[in-house]
Amino acid sequence: MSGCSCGVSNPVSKDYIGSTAWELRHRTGYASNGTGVHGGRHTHTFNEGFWNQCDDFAEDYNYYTSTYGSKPVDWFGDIGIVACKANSWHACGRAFDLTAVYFTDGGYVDCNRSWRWGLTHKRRYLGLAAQLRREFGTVLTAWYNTAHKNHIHFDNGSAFTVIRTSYRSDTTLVQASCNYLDSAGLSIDGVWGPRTEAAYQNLLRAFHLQCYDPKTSTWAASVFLEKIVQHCYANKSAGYYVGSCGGPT
Amino acid sequence: MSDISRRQFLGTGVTAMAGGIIAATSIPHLAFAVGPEVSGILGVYRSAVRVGGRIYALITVQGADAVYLLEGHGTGRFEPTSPVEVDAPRGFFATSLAAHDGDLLVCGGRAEAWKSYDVDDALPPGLEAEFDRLPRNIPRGGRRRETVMGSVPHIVRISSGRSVQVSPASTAERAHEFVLGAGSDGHGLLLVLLGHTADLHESGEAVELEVGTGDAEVGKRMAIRGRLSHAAYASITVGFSDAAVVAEMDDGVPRIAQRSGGWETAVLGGATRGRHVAVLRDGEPAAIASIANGVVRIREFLDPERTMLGSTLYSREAIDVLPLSGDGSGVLIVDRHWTELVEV
Repeated sequence: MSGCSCGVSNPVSKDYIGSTAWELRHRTGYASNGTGVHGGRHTHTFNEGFWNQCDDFAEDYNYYTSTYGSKPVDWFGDIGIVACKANSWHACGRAFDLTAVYFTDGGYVDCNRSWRWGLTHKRRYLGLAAQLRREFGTVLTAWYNTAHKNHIHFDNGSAFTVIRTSYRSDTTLVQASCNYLDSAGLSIDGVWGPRTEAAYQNLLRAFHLQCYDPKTSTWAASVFLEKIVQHCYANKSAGYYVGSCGGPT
Repeated sequence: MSDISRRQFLGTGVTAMAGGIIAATSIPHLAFAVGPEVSGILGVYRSAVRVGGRIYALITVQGADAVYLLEGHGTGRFEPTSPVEVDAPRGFFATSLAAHDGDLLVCGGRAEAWKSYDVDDALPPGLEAEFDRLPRNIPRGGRRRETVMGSVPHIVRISSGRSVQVSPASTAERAHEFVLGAGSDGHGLLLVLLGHTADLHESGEAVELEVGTGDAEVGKRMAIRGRLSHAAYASITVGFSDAAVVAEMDDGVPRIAQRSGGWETAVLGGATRGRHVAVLRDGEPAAIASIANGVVRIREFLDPERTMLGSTLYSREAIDVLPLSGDGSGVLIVDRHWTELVEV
């Protein structure tokens, strides 16, 4: 199945994900610097199973932003959950269009601005995408296509799985990781060629994870993505947090 | 152009509204329209078509798609009657209704395995210790084959009460391809609007459009250039001598592509963001109906190229507007308590 009919099965109305304090705020426009302008707390209808996964994501994400970046989550911004659109997981409340995450210290990841701003913001955006990818099989970012330049789409149409080199979404995520954590200088074009493969292997070695294979093992994929998240929120280059496979060879 | 006739279709009651609404939150880029009730339950009107003077609607009620005949009761009130029997294959999903050769067509797609790959869920020795925070969403299993589901175009033709399956040609490279709409011209030629995911395999939502011709087989495909916006709704309206596709591209600008113009897309000058459908008169595109911020407006074309929109001919608050192909022309306007046919 690739989508669903219009209507939410097992609907739940929620105005937060994770902690009840982490309210959902709707983006209503943009400020002059390109960041989204969001309203107050509002309620969405979700498919219950999908909301539970959003809940897990939010709790895990807050753990990493707090532990590695001293930035506890304050609230999440969005531009919608449910939409009656052909062959879309939005049609049944199993997709989320995320616009921003704000932290309690006033810092933020803005999905319209952060990915094209300075390195610190690029890393925050990358860390957000990587943590989403640890929970969901489909995560579409600004690097994926221009339709997602102002929000990150994620859905649970497919479960978490390995790094797929034939998928533009996974390839761009890895290319961005190689660039912003390991100065690879790749073109983020979604094509997994020899240069991307070499940069990916370099990143694995920098993480000391080269004895695992995130392309075939779901557990290895999850630990690889976790390393990306840790480095992004600590704002460190690859190699600051390492696994046990030994140093670069 | 000014002679707009209206017939108001009323739902079966207002009092039943309170408990049945599933979701009607304000989502600027993605409207979710809950229309009049069907058998006491509020439904989502997805598409409408006129066949042999009868109007049918594709309505989703509690997550299930069904085709209803909209019928009047002599007082100007119309409502959905019993569902039309549609024998669709397993995995079929409906997107729209169309008419061809006096038959009702239920257009959409059919889920089909697209590709598969090997995945290992076994926890490698020592890996558990590598995690700072152990994931909760990975099973501790072994090797397995993961199947990626895609979709192929499919139409169910209702002919004399019998369902005939039609599978337009698909392109294997595309994970998802489905019929977004269709219509029959004055020569009986069926035009099929296909939505597909091009080289983007992850999402099932269409990013590009093509129009094909043919009946049982979609023949030569005519490209409509540009990529759809994330929030795009695309529709085709087919008349006697012309047809028009209206969609919003990823620069946020609505565009129209006409058969008479070789399906080259042209910017709808003066149009705002929102969902747009072409309104036909005498078999040709004559106006655009749009729904934005809870208001339906119909505006006529100002120029011969039909890219500039003029003054508003019709305006009222509503939750959706649907193109109405088939014999005759017009649009169906849907609100919580009524449906209204507007003919231009």
